[in-house]
Amino acid sequence: MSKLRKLLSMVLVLMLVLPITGCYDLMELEGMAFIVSLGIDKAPENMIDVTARIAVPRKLSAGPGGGGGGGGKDEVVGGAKPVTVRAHTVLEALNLLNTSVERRVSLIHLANIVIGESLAKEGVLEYLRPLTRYREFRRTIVVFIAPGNVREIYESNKPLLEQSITRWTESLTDVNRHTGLSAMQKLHDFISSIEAYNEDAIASVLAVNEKVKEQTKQEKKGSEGQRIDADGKPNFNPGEVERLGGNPLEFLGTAVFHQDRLVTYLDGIDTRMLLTIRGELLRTQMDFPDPINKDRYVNLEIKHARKPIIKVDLKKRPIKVRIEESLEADLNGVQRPTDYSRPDRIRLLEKSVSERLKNRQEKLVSRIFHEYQADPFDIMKRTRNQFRTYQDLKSFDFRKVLKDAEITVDVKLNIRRIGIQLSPIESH
Amino acid sequence: MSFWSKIGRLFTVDDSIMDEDFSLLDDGQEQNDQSMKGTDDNSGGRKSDRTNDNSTKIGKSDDPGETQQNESRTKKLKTIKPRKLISPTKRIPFYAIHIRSRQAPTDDQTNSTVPEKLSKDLQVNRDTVRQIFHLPTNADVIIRDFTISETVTCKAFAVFMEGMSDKEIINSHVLQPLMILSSLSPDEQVEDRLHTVKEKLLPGNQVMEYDKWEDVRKNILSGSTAVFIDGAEKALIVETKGWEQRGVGETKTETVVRGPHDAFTENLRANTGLVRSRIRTEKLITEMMQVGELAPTDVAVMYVKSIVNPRLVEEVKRRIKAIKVDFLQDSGILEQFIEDPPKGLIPRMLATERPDRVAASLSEGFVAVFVGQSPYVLILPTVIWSLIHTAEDAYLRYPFGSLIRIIRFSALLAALLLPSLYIAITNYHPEMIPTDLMLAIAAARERVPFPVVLEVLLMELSLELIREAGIRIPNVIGPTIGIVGALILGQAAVQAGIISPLLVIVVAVTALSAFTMPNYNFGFAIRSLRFLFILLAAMWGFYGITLGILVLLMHFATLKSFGVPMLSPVAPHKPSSPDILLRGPVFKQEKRPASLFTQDAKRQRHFTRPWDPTVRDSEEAQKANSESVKGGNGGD
Amino acid sequence: MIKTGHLGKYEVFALVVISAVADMFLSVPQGFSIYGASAAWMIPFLSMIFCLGIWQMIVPVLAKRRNKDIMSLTEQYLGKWGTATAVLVVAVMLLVDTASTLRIFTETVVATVLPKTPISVVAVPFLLVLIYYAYWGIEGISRVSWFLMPWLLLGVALLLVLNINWINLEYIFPLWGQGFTKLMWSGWFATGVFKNILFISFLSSLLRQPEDVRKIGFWSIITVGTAYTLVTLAFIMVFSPEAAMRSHFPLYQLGRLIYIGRFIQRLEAGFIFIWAAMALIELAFELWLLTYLTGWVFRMPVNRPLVFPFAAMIYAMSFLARNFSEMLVINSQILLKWKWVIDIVLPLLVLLWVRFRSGKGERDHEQTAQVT
Repeated sequence: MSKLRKLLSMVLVLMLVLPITGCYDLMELEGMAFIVSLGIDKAPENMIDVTARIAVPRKLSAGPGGGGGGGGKDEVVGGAKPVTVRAHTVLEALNLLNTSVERRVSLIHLANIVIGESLAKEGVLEYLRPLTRYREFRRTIVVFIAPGNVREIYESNKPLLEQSITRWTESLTDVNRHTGLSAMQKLHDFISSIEAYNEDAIASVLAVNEKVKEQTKQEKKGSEGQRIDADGKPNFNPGEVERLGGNPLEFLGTAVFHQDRLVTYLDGIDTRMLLTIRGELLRTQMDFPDPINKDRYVNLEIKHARKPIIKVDLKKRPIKVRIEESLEADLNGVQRPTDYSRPDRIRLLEKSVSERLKNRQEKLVSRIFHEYQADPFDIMKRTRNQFRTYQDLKSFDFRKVLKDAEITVDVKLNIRRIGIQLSPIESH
Repeated sequence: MSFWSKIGRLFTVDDSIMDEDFSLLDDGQEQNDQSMKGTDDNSGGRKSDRTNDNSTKIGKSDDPGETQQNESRTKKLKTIKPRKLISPTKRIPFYAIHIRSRQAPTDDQTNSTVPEKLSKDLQVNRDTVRQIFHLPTNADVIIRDFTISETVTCKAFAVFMEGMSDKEIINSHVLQPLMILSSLSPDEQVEDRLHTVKEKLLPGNQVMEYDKWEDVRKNILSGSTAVFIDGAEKALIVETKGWEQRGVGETKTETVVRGPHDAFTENLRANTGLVRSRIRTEKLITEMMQVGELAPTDVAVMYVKSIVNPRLVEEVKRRIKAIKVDFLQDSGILEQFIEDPPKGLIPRMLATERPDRVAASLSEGFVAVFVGQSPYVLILPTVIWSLIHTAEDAYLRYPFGSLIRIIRFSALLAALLLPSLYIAITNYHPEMIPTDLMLAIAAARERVPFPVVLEVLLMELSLELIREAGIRIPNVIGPTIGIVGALILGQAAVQAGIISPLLVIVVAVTALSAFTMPNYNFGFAIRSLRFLFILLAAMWGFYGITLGILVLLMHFATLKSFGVPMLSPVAPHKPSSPDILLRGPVFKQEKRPASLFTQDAKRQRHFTRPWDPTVRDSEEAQKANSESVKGGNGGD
Repeated sequence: MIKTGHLGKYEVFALVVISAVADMFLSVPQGFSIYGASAAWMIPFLSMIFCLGIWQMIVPVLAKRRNKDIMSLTEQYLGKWGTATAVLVVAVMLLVDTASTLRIFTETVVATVLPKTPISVVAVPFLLVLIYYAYWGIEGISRVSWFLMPWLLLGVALLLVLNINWINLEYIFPLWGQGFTKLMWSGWFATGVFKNILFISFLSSLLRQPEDVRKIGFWSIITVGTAYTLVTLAFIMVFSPEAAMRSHFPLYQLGRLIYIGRFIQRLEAGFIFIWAAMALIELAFELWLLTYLTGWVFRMPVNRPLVFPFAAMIYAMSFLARNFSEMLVINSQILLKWKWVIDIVLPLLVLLWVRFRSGKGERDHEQTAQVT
């Protein structure tokens, strides 16, 4: 056989064989429907309602000639309305989704997962387990817990700025790191905490503010002149923030888990305390009552000077937990013309604030420990080094000792800077 | 028989390529191998089996023993695959063809009657010249009859090639002195006339005597003038070469900003001169040889005697001498005759048009090969790294030299892989694209009727089309067409919705990257391999690309250029100057390429800047050192 | 004698390191975390120390005899038949190991990046590349591995560094894992991953300077040990030992977790280059070694023709296990647990035997020879 013939026949064989062998996994981008957000909610008889938000391909910038179906700004985020199906498992739901979505549904661009309260209270692992095995599903997505109906969350989500759910999720993570009002957790952290000994999981909360939702509905009808409640007070509870306008959806508060079951929610302030104990507080602005002028507030920007030291004495019964925090703060705002730049006043303020923090934290930790035997604070996680071998760790029932644990919190606050003004402005 | 030999061939593994490859290591280091080979009878037997097999396959030889002998004698020299010469119908033993082709010119009937030596009789000589050069059919050969001196009539004639010799020189340095200014003393012997003419009458700078027709013929063909004098058994050859040619011009393909701008031209001696004027040492040797049986082409092998590995020169000459071809046009053809196996796309030697690059390489211990009228000179051996170096890297200060090399290396990767990565990512791993960008691509692709692979292939092909057209189109309208092709076609294709805008960016970047490849051949290799990677990416995504890269790497790792592994000095690791991927400071370029096994491994002294006070061996330091030594001695 | 060409010390170093380290992309770190729980990272570390000791014991035999590798040494002192048996045992081990690694590798590719592609479509091109590599021989393989090693190590390091935001220091506690004695035993069993010792003893005669074998051995053991320790450490700290026991192909999982901002995430497909390259080099080298050993035992003049039948055998054997989990069980329960017998004990015994048999006189002679 001549060389040329050999070569030609090889090329021929390749040309015949390659289209058959290759390209099994080849898929065109425009042939797929990318789910960016997935909601799971409880349905009767062990079934679930799965809500999916599918990203609609759109031009980054519409040229003068291009564009086409741009749509108004009022339209829900991402372009398409969420689709909800009922199924036994999430993966079955994905299949059923494809009965109404004309492109192949894929989870590879998933940005967040929203779990309904009713389902979370019964245990989430049952529904997450199949997903962790599924290759399209990755552990870097954000977990939200939704009090109430999940579908409602999707319907009422009208972001002010962002247009894509992916960016929205990322922005939320960023914002919450700075406000500390919600502890955003990636699924990996969430699952790891459930899976590992001596820890419990937390997740951030997405809640619909009914008042704002009502108000936006009214606005659409045309009635103006909505006003904020006369006797409303600043509220840090999920879904109850006193406000008008904005996204009816609120991202605030933290869900606390016991094993894989939701047990309670923390409000925004408690979330900050939680983060302080976990040592995850970034620079966060907080208001505290003015120790000199009652009913007035000072604003501090607090951060960790170093990570909190947690000492747990496991030998004693009840166990003794001692949390030593060292915080730094900048003085941001004082309402009254009290001059807090004086060293004695600063000390006074430091003392009052740290006292307040200490009380609040002690109360919070004791409540969660005693009432729910859950440890979202990563306190018991740090006792792992007190066990010599893995068997000891395994056989140790940490929930039993949480019941009557004695907690002391020691907060050292140091106000380092006083902003860009030395003494306050006074009116004459 | 032939069937069984074919079957047998399937089970015979042709290891000879790997076993017999040439290595630059000297014998001492190769001793182990040799002893292994020597003790191993079996492998020897296998080899002869193989040759036998080969010959029987080609055609039944009349005398197998002779074939084998012939085979083993020419085994080392064999570069022409005998198979190609054979037309299947004739079935001539290949060695017969071999011999015939070697004898072909002498078999020619006109030449067969040419006597070996010149005759005393001028008329006989004149007839022989007419016979050799097919006069009067051949209009290019001029015979000018004349008479030397007036006192004694001595008949003579000059022969030269029209167009290849300088008329000025012939007129003023050959004919004028002989015909007008000369006077031969009458009492001189007829035999001595030639001597007198050579000594006194011909003022040419190179005059040689030849008594063989073969030499005379060659010299006339190369442009010299032959002077035949009555009664002399020898002819005088006067150097009158001078044909129309381009002067030394500017570099066309390897332009630099900083550095010399002259380039080789279509004249062998001018080319060697350009290099010699740079390396002014008596150790620079130019060896001339001729290749081509129909019409010989001059091939010059140039090297620096005190540096180069003699084995390398021997091997280069061996391979060049072994070429049996009727006519050798260009260095591009010589390259294909002497490159090492295995086959592959990567050029095994560096063709350059820059004399400075050749000079630098020669000083490092490389060998340069000049071929006839080719403006491209081969530098060999070469390693892959030098294919992406330019002369300018060295002329710039080293941080910038390194920077442009990094850019060029990234360009190499982009030119090779960018379209395939695009395919792999969009078709197999869409999760790698940020969601917003992914949605934008998907939106743009919604109007496109083709799959991504086809889209990429279409664009790549049209780009190659523009490129090829750009070279062929007459210079005047070239740029216009380029713009039309590139801009308008791309724009129109996007607007028509045949391709997505992002792809235009990808393809344009790929094209730009491919243009940064300094070596033309290497650029071709990269461009062709790109299509292979596109295919692999279309079938297996990243997995396919990975396998492709690994095969390519293995191919590179086994490639050799005149016994030098082409990935060296990286793999195999050799201590080398910092001049592989990055360009180190010039004062650190101390070693010659270790893989060349040069006679002198050090290029320059360890301290090249003794004036620098920060250098340990500086003049100040030495002075201080010597003073302290003196002081110490004084103390004692 | 089979002609192989010569190898430089850097190339051999890279080759044996990559061949030993490649397994860490498969299920080995998971095996460690089953045996060691939170102290899993100590297992490779302890093994490394064991191996350094063993190497110290056997290296004089290899380093002092020029141009002798373990096979010719064994033949000299153990006779033809003994050597043939020993070499064949190693060959069989290599065959099984290569087949199982090939299966796990291809299954991993299918499970992770090409889920819908039939396994043969993934395995066949890989096998072809494998044949190409083994056919071109050890010189090329070693050069490719030296060429790639810095990039591969850089990639692995990057993989670990990019996961820094997931790391939980608490997860390495309890410090002693399943208990100290169990840890020591696991450390001993895990010496089986230090295939480099066996490989070096086969390749020592191909080195240009056989004295380099000592350095290559030490540094490769240290590199392999460090690599395994770091990878297992990162794996445990990111996933918690509880989760680490339940997840095979750890480095892929680590790759999936990378999330540094909007752009640096979902990179795991990019890391396929690293683990495919490592697996290829390892398998190609093992395939080549298989043919080399077989050719040597049966006094064949060449080993290249053996590449094809062995490749076919490996391909066939790799599909013997019914499914992926069966293969994983075979790998972690049998191979990981018992490979040390061949990887470590065999060269140890043989070379120690050679050392004792060669007698004191010869050793003295050699020492003087070395001095001069």
